[in-house]
Amino acid sequence: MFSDFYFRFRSLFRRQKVETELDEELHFHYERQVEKYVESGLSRAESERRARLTFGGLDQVKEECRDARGVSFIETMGQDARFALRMFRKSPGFTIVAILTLALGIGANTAIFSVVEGVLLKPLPYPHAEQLVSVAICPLALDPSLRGLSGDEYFIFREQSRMFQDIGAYIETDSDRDVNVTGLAEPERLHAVYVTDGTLPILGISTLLGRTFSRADGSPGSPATALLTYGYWERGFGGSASVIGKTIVTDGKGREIIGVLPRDFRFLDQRDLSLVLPLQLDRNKTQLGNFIYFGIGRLKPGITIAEASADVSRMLPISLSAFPPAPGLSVDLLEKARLSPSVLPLKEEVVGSLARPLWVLMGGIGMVLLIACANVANLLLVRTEGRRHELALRAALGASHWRIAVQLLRESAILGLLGGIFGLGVTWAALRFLVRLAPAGIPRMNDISIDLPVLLFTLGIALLTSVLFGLIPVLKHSHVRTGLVQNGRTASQSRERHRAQNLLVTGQVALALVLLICAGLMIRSFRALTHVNPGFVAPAELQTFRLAIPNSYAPDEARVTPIEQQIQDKLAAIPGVSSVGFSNDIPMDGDSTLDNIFVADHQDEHGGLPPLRHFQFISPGYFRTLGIPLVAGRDLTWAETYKRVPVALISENFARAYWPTPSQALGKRIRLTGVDDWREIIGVVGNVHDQGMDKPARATAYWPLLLANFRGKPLHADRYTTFIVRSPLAGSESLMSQIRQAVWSVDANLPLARVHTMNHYYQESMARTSFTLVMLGIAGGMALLLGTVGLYGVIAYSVSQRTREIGVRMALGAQRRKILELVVGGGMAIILVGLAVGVGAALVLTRLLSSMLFGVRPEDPLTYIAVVLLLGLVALAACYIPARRATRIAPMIALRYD
Amino acid sequence: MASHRIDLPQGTLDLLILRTVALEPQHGWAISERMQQISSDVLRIQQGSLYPALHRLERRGWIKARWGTSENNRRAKYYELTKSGRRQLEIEKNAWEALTAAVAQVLETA
Repeated sequence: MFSDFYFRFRSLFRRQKVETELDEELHFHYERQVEKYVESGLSRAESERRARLTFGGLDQVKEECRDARGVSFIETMGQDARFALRMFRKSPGFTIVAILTLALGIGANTAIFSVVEGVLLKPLPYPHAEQLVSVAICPLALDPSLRGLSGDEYFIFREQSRMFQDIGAYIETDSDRDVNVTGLAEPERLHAVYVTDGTLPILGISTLLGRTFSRADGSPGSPATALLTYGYWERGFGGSASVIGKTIVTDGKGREIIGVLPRDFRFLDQRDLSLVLPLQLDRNKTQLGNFIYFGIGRLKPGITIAEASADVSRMLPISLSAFPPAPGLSVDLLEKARLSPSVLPLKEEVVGSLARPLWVLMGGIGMVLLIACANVANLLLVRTEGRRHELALRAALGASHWRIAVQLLRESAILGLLGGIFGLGVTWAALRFLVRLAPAGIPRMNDISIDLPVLLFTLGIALLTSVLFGLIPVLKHSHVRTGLVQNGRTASQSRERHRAQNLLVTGQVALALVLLICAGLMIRSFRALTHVNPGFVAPAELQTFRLAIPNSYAPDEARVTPIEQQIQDKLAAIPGVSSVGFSNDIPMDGDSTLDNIFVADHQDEHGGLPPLRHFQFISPGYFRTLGIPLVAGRDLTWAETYKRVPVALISENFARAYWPTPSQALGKRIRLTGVDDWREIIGVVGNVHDQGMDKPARATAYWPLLLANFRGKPLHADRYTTFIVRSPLAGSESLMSQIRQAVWSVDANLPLARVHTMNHYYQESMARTSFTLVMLGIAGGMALLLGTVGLYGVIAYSVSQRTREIGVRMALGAQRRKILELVVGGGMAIILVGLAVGVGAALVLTRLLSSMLFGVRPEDPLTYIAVVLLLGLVALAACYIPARRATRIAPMIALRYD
Repeated sequence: MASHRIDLPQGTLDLLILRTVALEPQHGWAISERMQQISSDVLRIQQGSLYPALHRLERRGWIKARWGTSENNRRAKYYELTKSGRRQLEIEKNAWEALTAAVAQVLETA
């Protein structure tokens, strides 16, 4: 087998050498034979004559040798390819249309596949990534969508696990905990991540320079240390190796730089990460129920997720008994929350909910490719029809059916491969477009590229599609026996001959309908989203930015709020600014804090913990600035804030969850946890879609900035805050420079971060829907275009085939109207069947879309009717144009046709 | 002389080539000479069938070729038996002996 393979290829690639060797071998034989005759006494001339005689035809011997070496298969392939290329050159119109159609279909598919591959399929860039899991605990009874790990669990899991090699915990600094870095050129606010000492080794990450964290670095009380990312090392320190041992000041705290991470270091999906800092957890101060960390674990080889989950289940009760509960919590309450393990492959955690939209897009774009295939198949059918004579001739000259089939398939394969090559160009362009269009939240964008698996995919679908569209003409035409005889005039088309084409068009119409319905449903979702009242007004006029007041500037927590108020006053004095407010959390910025909120004199139904509610700390003026209406009661005052009067505001849906009308909530009391002060409700405000437009508005409690006895602490003040400034100039650099000056006039060391208008968050919250909408819209548009072209082509072709028949009918007195009906009716019959099949398929397939829809059901009748009408009308037009042409035929010309 | 020569039955050429190169590596001309010689000139092999047969056997991996220097100091292509060729020779030889024995038996008794 191997030698056979070797031979064929040797013969193919070293043909020249093989040929000379064959020549030399035969020539040697000839000369030896001549010598022999000469030795036996014959003359030289006679010897040569005889030797030549014994040889017979030299060329024939050679040809037989070549055959024996088995090159013929590959050589005929070359012949076929050369022949196909010659045929393509002879009909450039057909070739260009076919290749373009395929390039579009294959290119679009490769583009989406490269996204699917980069985001969903490729393993995370860590050694043995399949062993990496995200370890978390989920309070099933409260909210199954919440996940987190608390310090106690980290300690117990790490010490007592049986299925894990090691477990680490980390906390991202998202917006809340970006660090202020000072002491370098300008104060900067940098993105950092805090990790326990085991985390980096679990991911298999080592440093480029210096060392990674030791257990000592992770212990409380040891000297503070920091690791730099490669990008920050180059940007901030010019890539100097002497940086090790130097000190960097983060949030007013000096840290020794102990190492630099390698260039390809990636921490999950964190972008723009500058610093990796040690997470120092104090075992002695650890309390239960503080689920603010994220866990990463490396499983022992061969351990499954289920085994790891069971291991975590086993350790959970140990952890609950090993530490005291946080203030206001009890072991009993935690048990009622039904804490359960949530162990996921780490990739799933990184990719999140993107898998479904991407697979839906892949499916959609796959349908476009099928439509493109059907178009090319139709073109090929027509072309093969025209080549019946040639094929029959070949058959008559002795080509086997197999040989003809192989030849036709090879022509298709060449078309498919050319389509694939041009398709890669389409992919390249499409990817640039995609990266620009993609919502900021798409993870692993960096992993998307045209790499080997993507190229193999292209090759694969190019060949697969060529078989798909190539097989149809082969099935119809490789058995041409009567072709030579049948070369007379064709009377009219037989039903049989066009069945394949009609079937293809039916399929195209059905597929296009499904895609257009999907696109239509997304359009309806997007419209529904934009019609939702976000709860605030004119987001384009709101400028937001984030600020942190670190320990070093205001060691006393009580000093934080006056500094913030001072900044607020300075901002309000900027010309054109109508209002300023601030809070630790603004709607739709992706951060939020939840906790159980108790209502006085109200027993929770389950007798246990009240529901988890969203809460935030606000300045007076926050509601006015955002334009959130006051439904009942009044806004907060600065006097109340500074006096730490126990008051609160709640959202309308919070109020209605307990009382029939919002005003009845006034004067009632709520608190966080079981030990805090009760706080009196002084106002009820409108609901806000704080998690994004596609999520319901959450019941929210609003606390003052300064609080006594909050979450077990005597005084609460928040050092991290987002300012919101209402001005018609929002988003302009001139406003921002005035804002910066205002902030720096209070403290020149305060860096501003996350500078965005509110509109940015508003649009970002709809970005996934609009992205899916645009992508499905493009797929639907391509489907419509290709489908229409296919339909038009088939009808036009059938009219041209029936020219004679139509002429006869008209000569016998048929009305133009009748002819029109005949042609259009024939086309519409196919279309109606296609539409019916499409509606049926759409009813099933749009269910896959339901999680991505908003405010519209997958079987929304309006969308179905509109799309059916649209497609029906376009199809009608595609039939009507060739039909009209048919009626213009002069009967005499038609009769002479052929 | 010509009347003594007989055409080779189908498939026997392969067997004869394998047998001929089994002793030592030979080039094409020597193979045909040797066969003629040993069969006392009864078997004459046409070059038109010898060389395709050699190439076919080489492709199947039963013989392999290498270039060497011939007895008259010329570059010539030598064929030698491979391991699988040796096995094949055994198989074909046994098949041939079984066949001739059977044919002989039929001729004698029928």
